[in-house]
Amino acid sequence: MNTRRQFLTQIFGMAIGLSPARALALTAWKSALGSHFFRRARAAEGTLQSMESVAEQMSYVQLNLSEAPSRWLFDLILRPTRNSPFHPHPYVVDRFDGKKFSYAPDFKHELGLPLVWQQPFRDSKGQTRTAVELLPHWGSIRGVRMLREGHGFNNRRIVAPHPGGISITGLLADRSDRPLPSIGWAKRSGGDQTATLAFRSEKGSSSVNIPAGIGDPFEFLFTGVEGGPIGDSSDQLLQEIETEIRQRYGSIPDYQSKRVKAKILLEHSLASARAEYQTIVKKYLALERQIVTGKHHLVNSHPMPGFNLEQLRNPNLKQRDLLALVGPYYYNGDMVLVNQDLTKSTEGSYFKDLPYQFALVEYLLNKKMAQSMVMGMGTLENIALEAVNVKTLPLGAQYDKVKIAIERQSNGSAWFDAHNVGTVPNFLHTSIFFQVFSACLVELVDNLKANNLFDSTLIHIASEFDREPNNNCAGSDHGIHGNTTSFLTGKLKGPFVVGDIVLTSEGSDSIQKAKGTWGHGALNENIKQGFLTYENINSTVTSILGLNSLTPNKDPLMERQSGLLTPTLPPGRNVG
Amino acid sequence: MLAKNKFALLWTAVFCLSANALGSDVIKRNRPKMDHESVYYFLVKQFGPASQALLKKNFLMRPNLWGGPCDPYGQVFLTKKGQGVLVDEETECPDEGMSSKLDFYVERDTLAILILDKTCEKLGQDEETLRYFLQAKSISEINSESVTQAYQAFFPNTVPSAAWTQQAMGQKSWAPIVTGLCRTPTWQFL
Repeated sequence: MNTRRQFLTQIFGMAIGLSPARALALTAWKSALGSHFFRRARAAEGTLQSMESVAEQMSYVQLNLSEAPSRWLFDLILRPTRNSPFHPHPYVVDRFDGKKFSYAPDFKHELGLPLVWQQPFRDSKGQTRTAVELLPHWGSIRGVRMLREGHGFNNRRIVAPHPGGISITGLLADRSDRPLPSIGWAKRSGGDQTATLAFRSEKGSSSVNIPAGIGDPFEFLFTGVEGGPIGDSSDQLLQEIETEIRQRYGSIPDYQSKRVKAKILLEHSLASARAEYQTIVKKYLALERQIVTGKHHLVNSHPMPGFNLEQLRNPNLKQRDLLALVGPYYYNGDMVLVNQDLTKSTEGSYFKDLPYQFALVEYLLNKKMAQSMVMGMGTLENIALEAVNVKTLPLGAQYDKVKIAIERQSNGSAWFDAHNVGTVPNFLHTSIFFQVFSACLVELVDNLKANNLFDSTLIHIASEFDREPNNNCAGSDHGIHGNTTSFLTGKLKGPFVVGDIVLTSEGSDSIQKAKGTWGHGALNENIKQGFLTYENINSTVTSILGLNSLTPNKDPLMERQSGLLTPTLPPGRNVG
Repeated sequence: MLAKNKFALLWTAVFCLSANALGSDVIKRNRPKMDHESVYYFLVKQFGPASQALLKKNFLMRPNLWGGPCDPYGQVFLTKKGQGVLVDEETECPDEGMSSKLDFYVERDTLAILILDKTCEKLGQDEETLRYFLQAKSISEINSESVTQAYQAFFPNTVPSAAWTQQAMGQKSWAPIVTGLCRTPTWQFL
C-alpha cells in the first residue's frame, strides 16, 4: 500500500505533466535518493512499513509513573558522557556518602548512570544482578516538552494525544485477538485521571480497569468464570441463532472464534491458573521485600539523620532563613523530619500493588492473554516518621523555653509529586522505589527473554512530566518543559539517550533562579519543530507498535535498521 | 403548475431516499447496544430474583466489559429522606467512579463472552431461575409454540427460523435451549 507521502509525490509528478508511469518512477527515484532532505521522511515511513508486519504480535506494557517522580534517580540520564557539561543543583542528587548528597554518575557502562542502576540484588535464581543488564535493549528520550500543565491531562496524553480522542491502547485493542485486549491498573483509588482512563478505541473494544489498592487482581479479572469450561449442549442452538442474525442484519462480530478462545482460556482450571500466577507473585514479592527491608538499598550502609533540632539554638538564625535550613528535610507541607535515622523509617514499609502488577504483566504476557497493559505504579507506603511542624519551631533564645512537639506517624506514604518533599526524603523514598522497580524490570525482562517474548513486547516507562527542583530544596515543581521516556524491547539496540537539555534553566522569580541541570528540554536543530514534544513520543510508540500515528505531523524518534530499532536523533547534549 | 409540483415531489423523494440511506448506517443492528445496566436488568427480568446476585457480580459490577458509564451521582437519586440508606449498590459506581467515563456501547471481548457463557450456563442449569423463566411465560412442554415464546423473550417481535425451531424441539430439556438463547450477545443488539 502506498504511503500518503508517496501518493502526494505521484500527484505532484502528474501535476507537472508527467505520465502516471513517470510519476511512479519519480516516486521510486525519490525513495532511492539518499539526500538528507528525504532521509527523515523515509525513515519514518520505513519504520511504519517494516513494523506493520510484526504489529500483530507486539504487546505494549506501559509502566506509568503517574504523579511524576524525580526521574534523575533512574532513567533521566543528566550526564550521558564524561564530557557532558553539568550544573549541579543540591536537590538533584543520586547518592549519599554518609555526610553529603551529590549527583555523581558512574561512567563504566557507556552512559553516566545514577547509582540505582548499579545496586546489586539477588534474582529469583539467587544470582547477583544489577539494572545495568537492561542497557543493551534500553533507550531513553529526554527533554520532551509537554507544553501544558496538569497531572491528569498530561498523563492521559501519553496514550491519547488529543483530549478525549482515540488512544494508542484503543488502537492496539482494536487489532488484538487476545482475551483481554487492554488492561489498566489505576494508581490511586477514586477518580484516578491517568492514562488508564484515557482508553478509547475506534471499533468499540473495551478495556478492563483494575481498581487501585486491590492487591490480588486475579479475583477481580476472573470473577464469574470459575468452574472450568462450559458444556457444549447449547452450542448448536446458539450458532443457529447467530447464523440467522447474520443473514437478517448483515455481518456481526465473530463471537464463535471468541468462544473458542474462551474455552482455551479455561482449559486448565482457574484454580491451577491462580496457583501459577501466585508463584509469579511470590517471586516479585521476594524482590520487593529483599530491597525494602534488606541491606541492599543504596542508603542502608550509612545512617541518614533527620534535621538536627539543635541547629535552632543558633542566636543569629532568623525566621526568614529557617526554610533554607530545614528545606532538605521538608515533608508534606509544614512538617520537618527530625532526629531519627531516616533509613530506619522505611523498615516496615512496602509497595502495595507493584509486585502484583509486575506479576500480572508477566503472567498475561506468558499466556498471551493481554495485548496492552497500563500499570499505574504506586509509591512506598507505611513509612514511620518523626516530624515537627515548622510553624511551631522556636529559634535562638526561645529554643530552651519551648517544648517541641514531635509527631509520630507510622503509616505515612511517599509522594512522587514532591512539591513539599525536601531533598532527603525525596531521595530516600524515590531511590527505594526505583531500586524495587528496576529489579522487577530485570526479572520481567529475564522472563520475556526466556519465553521468546522480549522482541514482541514494548515496555514503555512514562510519566506526565519530570520534576523541576526548587532552590530552597524543600521540594520540586512540575517539570513540564522536560519529560523523560524510556523504552525496552528485544528489538531495540541500546543503550542510547537522545534529546538535548539545557544546562541551567531559570525560573521566574528570585528563589527559582538558576536551577542547574534537571532535564529542561532545549531547542534542537535536528528536530524540524525545534524541540521534542509528547507528540513525538506518541508517534514513536505507534510506529514501533505498527499502528497509524495519532500525531502524524510529528516524527517518530526511532527507526529500524537491520531489524533493530535505533534512534533517529544524535546522542543527547547538554547545551546552553 | 403540475410540472412544478412533480419536480418538487421528485426532489422530496430524492431527499427522503438519501436521508434514509444515510440513516440506515446509524441504525445497523450489527453490534451490541445494551450497556452493563440494561443487560443486568434484562436478565433479572427473565430469570427472576434468584438470579440477581450472580447477575450483579457479573454485569452490574463490571461496567468495563459491557459498556455504559456508571452514574457517580446515582445514589443521590435513590436516597429517600429519613430512610437512612445512602449507598445503593445497584446505582453506585463499582470502581469509585473510574467507570463514569466509559463509552455507552462496547464490543464484547473474549472475557465478556466467557462471562456471558458461564452466567447463562448457570442460569439455564439452576432449577429456580429456569423455573422462573418458564413460569413467567406460562410454558412447560417443549413444542413449536413454546420454543418460539422462549425465543421471543430474547428476540421480541422476531420469528425464529425453522431450522432453529426444529433443533430446539429436538432437545430433551429446556436447559440447552434457554442457555443457548442467553449465550449469544446478539440479543443485546436490540
